[in-house]
Amino acid sequence: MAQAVETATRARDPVRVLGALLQLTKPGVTRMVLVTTGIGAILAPGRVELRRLALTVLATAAVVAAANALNMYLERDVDARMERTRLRPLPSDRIAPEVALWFGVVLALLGISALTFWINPLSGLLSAAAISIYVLVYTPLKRVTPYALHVGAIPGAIPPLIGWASVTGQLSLPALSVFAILLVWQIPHFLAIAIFRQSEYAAAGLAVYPAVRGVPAAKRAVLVYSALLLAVSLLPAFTGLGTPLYLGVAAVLGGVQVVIAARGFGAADAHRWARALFYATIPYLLVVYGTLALTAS
Amino acid sequence: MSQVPPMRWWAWGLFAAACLAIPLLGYVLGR
Repeated sequence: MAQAVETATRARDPVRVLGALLQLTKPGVTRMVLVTTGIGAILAPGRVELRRLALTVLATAAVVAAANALNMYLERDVDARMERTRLRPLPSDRIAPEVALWFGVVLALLGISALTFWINPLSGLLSAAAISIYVLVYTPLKRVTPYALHVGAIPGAIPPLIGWASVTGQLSLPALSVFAILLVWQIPHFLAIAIFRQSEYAAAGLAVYPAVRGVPAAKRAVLVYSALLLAVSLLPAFTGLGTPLYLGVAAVLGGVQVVIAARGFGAADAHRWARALFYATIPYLLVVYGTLALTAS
Repeated sequence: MSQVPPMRWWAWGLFAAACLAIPLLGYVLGR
């Protein structure tokens, strides 16, 4: 009886199953990865073939989509406890957990194979490392320590390296400077989300930074990492990638982000400040990466 | 929603090994 009730809500119509599978991939996050992978390829020295670029971006998106699906499979209990996520395909029981699991596994193996055999082994290796760290280290660590955030930033910053490697077949200092920006950028970005969603995350059993170390410590970390981001964003100018125009744009935008971060100490409403900071980090990344791509020498 | 069982480490380890084996195979075949 319980089984009948449980399966009654599951989608049988193929269109609805596909819709649920698409939701498992977190399309918003996957879209952002398309941009960062493409920028990595554009910045790399050498000619970018459109067909090769499209294949790289699509295969990387498949691996990222798989990582998101496997993350949702492993966190379906946590998602069921949060208002914002309880309607996701797994906690709302629109799809069987096994379907999500196999969808993620097959998509990951397909994406890694496409990158390895159609692009080159280095891009395949980078994608394999990213999904392994994301699913096996970051996801379980989120329940244990707030520093999971720092681990999660590593796979999050790998897509531009995949784009770069797809063109050159190797990594170099300029590529690492592009990676470093995305690596550090994620810390204040995700700390901001953790601050304004602190109670929700903590109640669901996730060891988020502001809940474990306190909001003042989280504000200090936001400021420290924003300052570090400003410094790191200047690196491409020293690796021969960034032009003086890029340096100017990165310095001004980085300075603005440091000012917004510092204003957190005087903010009466920490949630409102964190939300504003979060929304400022998105155009920051797009403009900094965009300027780098448009002006790269 | 059904109860979430604890993570089966051996199965996830196998998954990661399969992921990493593909590019390694690519390197071997490409030599």
